[in-house]
Amino acid sequence: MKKNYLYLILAVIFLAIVIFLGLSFYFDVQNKKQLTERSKEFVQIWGNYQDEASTSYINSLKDYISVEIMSDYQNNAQTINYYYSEGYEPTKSILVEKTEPKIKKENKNYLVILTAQRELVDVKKFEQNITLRWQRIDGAYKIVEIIANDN
Amino acid sequence: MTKSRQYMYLAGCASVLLIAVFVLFLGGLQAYATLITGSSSNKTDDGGLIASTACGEAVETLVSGVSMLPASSGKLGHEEHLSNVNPSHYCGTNSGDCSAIAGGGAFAPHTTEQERFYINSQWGGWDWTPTRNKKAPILSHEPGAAEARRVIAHAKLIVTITEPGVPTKSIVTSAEESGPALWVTDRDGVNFGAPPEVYNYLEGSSPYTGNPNDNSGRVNVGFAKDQSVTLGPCL
Repeated sequence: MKKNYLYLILAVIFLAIVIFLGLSFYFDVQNKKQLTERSKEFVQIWGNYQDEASTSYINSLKDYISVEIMSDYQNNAQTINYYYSEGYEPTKSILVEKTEPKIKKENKNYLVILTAQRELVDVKKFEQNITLRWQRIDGAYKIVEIIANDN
Repeated sequence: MTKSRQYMYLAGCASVLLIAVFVLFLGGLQAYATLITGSSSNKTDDGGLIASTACGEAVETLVSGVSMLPASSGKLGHEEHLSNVNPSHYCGTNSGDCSAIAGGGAFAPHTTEQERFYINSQWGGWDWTPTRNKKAPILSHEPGAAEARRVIAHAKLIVTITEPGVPTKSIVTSAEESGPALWVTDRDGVNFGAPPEVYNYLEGSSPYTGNPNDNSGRVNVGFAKDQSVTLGPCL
């Protein structure tokens, strides 16, 4: 009788572990699919602008980025607006993706990596390797780090 | 217990054991990775030593491995005063024209002492290339750029005059403004700037010579290693 209980307990533990791993795998796949799509959307908005310091541009990034990055953009607007008052023109940017985003999990974050062709209008054209770090904050994934290396 | 039951029992135990080992292994890996990344993300410390002055040591950067200055040596531009000063604007015998105000500056508001002894430069954290074409700088997203931007406003820097024939003097300044544009650097070699209170104290020549490589108004600039140092001349 005792051995039967033992079998039952072992079977329940086994089943719980299988369900846990299965669900983890399922959510991981779903997260990767969703974040890859959101990264593509974000990069298009982020890299195509008429004025990096404009309120409409900064607000268009809001759904994707953390409060800290939003604050970085808002502080930058103060610096850049000063240049406009000195007669400098906004720098316009055009971005075209060159590679499909690749996603990988790193600890509890997801890293999305892609290469893009970038043009700062009338300034320079170059290639950039872009890495976005997504982190779950208050129940939603947000970008907490943007790294763009010029090639 | 029949043989088949014994096999089932053994198989069950073995699978549970294997899964437990696998889960523990994953957990261990994750903990190790967190340990590694956690220790490497603490990057803020002192940069390379530029100079030792009466006000302490000047270093290249406040964020390890990240360039925060265009260079440690350059020419000091002659700038005007800034607005948005609290509680009031300083105006002394070495202040030049106190009504000549350039604007709020990049890192407003400023205290009286911060405006009196301010410095501007092409700080790390931005891409200054567009300024060569009279366009505004843009955010840089190179590694460490965001961290550099977080620490630059009101950071203290030590400026030492190195122009030949001018007595060596140093002054502690505060990062309150950015620039000049790269076309100014290309034309005159000016990559820093300061108000009359700073350049009059240092007694360097006017840097606007049309020669980017001469030594008129040449200075060494670095971040004060001790950021609690008092603003003003190093006596």
